[in-house]
Amino acid sequence: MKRIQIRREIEPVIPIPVTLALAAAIVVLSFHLSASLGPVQHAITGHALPVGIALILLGVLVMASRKKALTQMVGLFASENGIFFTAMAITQGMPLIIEIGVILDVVLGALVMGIMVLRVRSSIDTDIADLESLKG
Amino acid sequence: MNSTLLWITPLVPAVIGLCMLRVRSERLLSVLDVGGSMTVLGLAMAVAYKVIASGPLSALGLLRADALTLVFLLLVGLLALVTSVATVGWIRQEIAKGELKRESLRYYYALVQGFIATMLVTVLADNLGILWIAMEGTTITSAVLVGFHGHKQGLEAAWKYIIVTTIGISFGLFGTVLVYGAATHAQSGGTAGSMNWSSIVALSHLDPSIVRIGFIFVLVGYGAKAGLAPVHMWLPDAHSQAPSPVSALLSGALIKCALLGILRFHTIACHACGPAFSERLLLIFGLVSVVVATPFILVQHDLKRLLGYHSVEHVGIIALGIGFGGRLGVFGALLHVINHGVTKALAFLIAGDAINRFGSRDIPKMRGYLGIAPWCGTLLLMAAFSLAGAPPFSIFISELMVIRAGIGAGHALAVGVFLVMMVVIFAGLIHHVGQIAFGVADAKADRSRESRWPLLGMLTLTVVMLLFGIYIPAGVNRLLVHATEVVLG
Repeated sequence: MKRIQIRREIEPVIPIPVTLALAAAIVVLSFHLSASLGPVQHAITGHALPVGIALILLGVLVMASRKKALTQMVGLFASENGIFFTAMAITQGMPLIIEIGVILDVVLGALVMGIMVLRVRSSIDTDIADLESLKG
Repeated sequence: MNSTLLWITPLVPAVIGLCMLRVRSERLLSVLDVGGSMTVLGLAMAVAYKVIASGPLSALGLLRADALTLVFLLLVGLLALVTSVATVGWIRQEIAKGELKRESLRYYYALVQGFIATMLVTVLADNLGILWIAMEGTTITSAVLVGFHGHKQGLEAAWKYIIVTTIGISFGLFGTVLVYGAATHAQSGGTAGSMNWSSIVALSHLDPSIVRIGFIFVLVGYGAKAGLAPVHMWLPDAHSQAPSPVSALLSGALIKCALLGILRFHTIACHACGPAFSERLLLIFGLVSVVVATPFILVQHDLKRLLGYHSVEHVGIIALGIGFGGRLGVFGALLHVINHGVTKALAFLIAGDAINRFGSRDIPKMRGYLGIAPWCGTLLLMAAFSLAGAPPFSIFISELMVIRAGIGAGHALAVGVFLVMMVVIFAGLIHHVGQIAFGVADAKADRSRESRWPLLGMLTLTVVMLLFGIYIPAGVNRLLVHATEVVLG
């Protein structure tokens, strides 16, 4: 945190109240969506599936509504957690080798993203998510 | 013995990549790179031979090779070899210009080998989880390669690429989980093999509503990776900022691997809820991609971005082919996978040479390429006409098949829009490339003789491009027919 000089998230793209309202809408939507998912819905407990879907979508919302690279990454991992939770909810979990592989990928991805953030920070002192030279 | 071949194939580049990290000699690195890619192509051909002779192979319960795999496996193998050969000359140009440092060369080569290894696993995966893991692996290795030069734009492109595709394919993972959930439910309890594509396709009563939602998530997820609009924003950035041989691999092979993922789920969806649903979705995504790419192709002034947007259009055409459906549509789409892979890789390799010669990627600053590099200039014109869909090049044939399939399936409106866009893109692309090829070159442009290695690679691709336009060899034809049967089930 110190090396990339982030103290506080100060510039959300959408105002906080709107984000909260969107989050509430997402939760309602995921309960609605999981009602249509039929038989897998009750594999373990009634409410595990909508909670998982809500977690995935909330992670995406965090990514979309934040500007700093680090908070975008937090959203991404929240979303990945949601996927694992859903997998637990509707099946008895994925095969072990797959779980290990997915975790390995996520960790490696985080590592690479972290390196990129640091490289940009050390060479031009801006946040990598703020770069906007490529367009059109 | 037969199944050993399957897991040896991706292991070879992975091990070679690891060994490269310890090698410092430039010459040895090049030899390892080309040698490794040759081995991969050789192994791919051996797998092809076995599969054609004795039907689908599987290994470890996780990997599988059928006719559909072979189409993509051979494409990845061929492009790996050609780009390795072209890299030999390209690296010299880059070092002479100071774009790449000698010390970081081994990392570059190692990453490329790792990238190829992950693509091979993607293609060979039977287990849908392995498919996802390998797909994310390609993102990680290639994102580092996209930002390899360390320029500001390169890092920006790499960041966009890794964020958009990672979030995209995490949707893909969600879709995979849903389909797996449906499969375990249908079997009442999962077994070790129940995440395998081959066993899911064999199930007779998957719940259609879950598979439908799963397919939507997978299409959005792997579609983001394949560059289907509207989640294509990262593609022109990443493909234009990557080092040219990597661009060739990204555009030629990687987006096809993502399409293979979509095709696998398309087959599952066809089994569970009939072909109409997934075909309709692919048709819409494909048509939107073609339409969205067109204006950007017309106004583009960056050569590699132009080619990037062009890839979006061609991915759209492949999706259209699958969406029109029927034997002809799928056959055309698979043929287009090969044709576009070969032609786009060729175009990116030439673009790399042109950009190095002119010291700029701005089309208005590039003039008289034919004059300073007669071989590459000629090949550039040929590649452009092929990409634009002119006969006698290969893309013309596959586009014609896709259009014919569309007319046959009664999608008159879609075919009409598609044809209009084709004409506009033809004009735009030929205009841009004509500007580069003709005229008088700037005095500062590099007029040194063309080096042999890149030319060797480019000529190989040109031969394939021309051959497939005039005559599809009987073996390839049979392979494509079998692959079509695998897709349609």
